[in-house]
Amino acid sequence: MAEEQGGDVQPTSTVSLANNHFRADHDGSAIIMSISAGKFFSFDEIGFEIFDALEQPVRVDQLVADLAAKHSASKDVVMPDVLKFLNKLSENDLIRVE
Amino acid sequence: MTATEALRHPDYSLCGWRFRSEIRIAALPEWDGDPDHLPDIELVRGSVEEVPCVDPVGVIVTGRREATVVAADAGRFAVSDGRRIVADVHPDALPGVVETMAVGPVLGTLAYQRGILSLHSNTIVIDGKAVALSGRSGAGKSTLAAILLGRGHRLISDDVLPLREVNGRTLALPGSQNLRLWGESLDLLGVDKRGLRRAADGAREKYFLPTVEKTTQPWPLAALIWLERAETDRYFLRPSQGIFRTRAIYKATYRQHLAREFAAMGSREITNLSLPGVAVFDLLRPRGLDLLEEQATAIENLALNDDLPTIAEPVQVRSVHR
Repeated sequence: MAEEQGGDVQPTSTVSLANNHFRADHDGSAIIMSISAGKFFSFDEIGFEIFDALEQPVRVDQLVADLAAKHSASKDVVMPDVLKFLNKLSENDLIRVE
Repeated sequence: MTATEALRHPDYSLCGWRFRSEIRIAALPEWDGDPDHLPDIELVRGSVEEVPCVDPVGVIVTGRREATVVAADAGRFAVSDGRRIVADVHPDALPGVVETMAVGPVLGTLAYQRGILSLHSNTIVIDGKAVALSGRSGAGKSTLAAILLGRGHRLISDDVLPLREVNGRTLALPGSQNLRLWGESLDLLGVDKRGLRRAADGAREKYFLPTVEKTTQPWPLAALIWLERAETDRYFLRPSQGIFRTRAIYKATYRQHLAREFAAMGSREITNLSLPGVAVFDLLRPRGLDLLEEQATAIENLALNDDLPTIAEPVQVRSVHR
């Protein structure tokens, strides 16, 4: 099914925001609403760092390399968490996956 | 002076824009800005192609810069580039209905084309602070607004309220400033309908309650109150926070389907529901018209609360034009 394939983010996938959300920043936190899923989300600081990085299309392995370098972490540690997060975004139609 | 100039209405001020219209719009103040400033928006009469529409009033978006507003009892309005309106008005349309379309769905569409988010609200200025009353049809927006108007507060929007964020504050841009009220609401408030202009006819009549003193300035939006009817004997005015705050703002967004369509077309500006400086509340109200005066007082007290951003004078913004 197309929906399942859409959620299948790989390290070689290119991901970007899908023009399918509203956002409210208030009192130091932010809430994202997926328009088509009709659900509200909030992320931690790193989650928003990733979300904001998806304004422009980016390859997942490049995104992971940037995050690992910035936070002095191993790419092998960062990759599974990022894939899990991106798949969640994809399941809720918040990102495009190519 | 040419014949055309003699027939033309004075230019209006709409949300801080200079608005030149071939249709008289009594709900708007005259332009009081720079006399040399060229019109930001122009409405001309003309022919507009028919588009299929099943709703009594619908907005058909054909692109980020093109849309047609279709009103069964008024006509068709082609809105383009956030600045040009062609009005194809039914010959027998009530002028009040045509005017309501121009400062309602047409304004809302035009604002989205400009990347400006609007609320659907009756907005009152209390103690220098704009308070937006929002809710579904029949929730009591207009009736509460009428009571607050009767207490000497100012109405700055009867339907569409375009917003602008400037220096971390949310500004309310004044739109239609004549309150439309159902005939039965006027009866309940003891207002004589005779002599009032009609804003809608049919099974339920609507009338304009005109505002004497109109404003051309943006006002700081301090509160948004989402009105909801409930099975209760009392009323509850409660702050909305977190997801509930965001959801209330989304529900108050003018014609959400338009916001969604423009978001899908990549208009990122209108997806920002942050509304900095705006406190959001739910007002759960009993059915019927009990306790209306008390609710109006609660709203007044809320606006007088020192915790809300206080501004005695409207904020001057020169960058509204584009």
